[in-house]
Amino acid sequence: MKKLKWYFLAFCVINTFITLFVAAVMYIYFPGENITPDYLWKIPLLSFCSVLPAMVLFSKKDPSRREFIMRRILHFVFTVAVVVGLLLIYGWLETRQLPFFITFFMLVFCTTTYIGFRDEKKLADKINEKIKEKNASHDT
Amino acid sequence: MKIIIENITPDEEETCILRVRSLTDNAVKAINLLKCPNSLTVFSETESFILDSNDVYYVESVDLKTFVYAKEKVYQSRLKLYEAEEILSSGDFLRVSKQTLVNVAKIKSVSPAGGGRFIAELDNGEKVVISRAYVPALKRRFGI
Repeated sequence: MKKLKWYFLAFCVINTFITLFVAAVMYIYFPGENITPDYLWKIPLLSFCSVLPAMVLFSKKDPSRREFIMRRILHFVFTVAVVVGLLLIYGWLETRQLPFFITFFMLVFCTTTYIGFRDEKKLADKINEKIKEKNASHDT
Repeated sequence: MKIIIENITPDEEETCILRVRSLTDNAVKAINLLKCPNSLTVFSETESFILDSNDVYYVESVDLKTFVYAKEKVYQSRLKLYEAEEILSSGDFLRVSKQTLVNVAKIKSVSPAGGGRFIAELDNGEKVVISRAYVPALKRRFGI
């Protein structure tokens, strides 16, 4: 149930981001154009497909370091394939834009991975501080 | 099993004698309860004895067997992991994964391992994985 809540939250965040992104792109590059009704299902479908790789690649057991890295790479490849495929079908992406899009995606992925690792490092540092305090009080 | 209880005078030492054909699981549990609430009865290839919880670094369950890790030696226990957890719960022990109980007082440092997991390095250089599901309990233990 907790996992489902997490997926739903991820879906909502991605959906909001994509909606705002589409709005910004339309405003800047296509100011005269209107949003058609098919956007109302295309954006949520794109959001759902963005979360799908995380659902498929979820592992109940603790992976080893190597397995964890492999799963992250697979997650990236799977997500890019699904999202790019859908964008090409929608006609929102042209093949000549693919390198830029994949680079952008890689940047987002690396940023989120870095943020996750940085948060874990912060927590580890806090715990290590507490361990030092505990050992120092034992010594005195 | 015949159980004999004798009342003794206050100046006599309380003694418990277990007359057994072999050290069964129930006998081990009885010894643990009587000798010291925070100790484990363990056995190596040649002998069995009682290990104080302060000497236990971590307890791990592998292939339905429970292994007790001291500073340099590994012993086996007839207790299941959850039974060892009940005995050691009042001390510095914390469940860090489905298979492992670790003595928090023996943790030298922790480092991130990716995916929300951490690696705890113990005083004797051994490393234990802290599963992501058990990280909140670790944080609570350290008051974070």
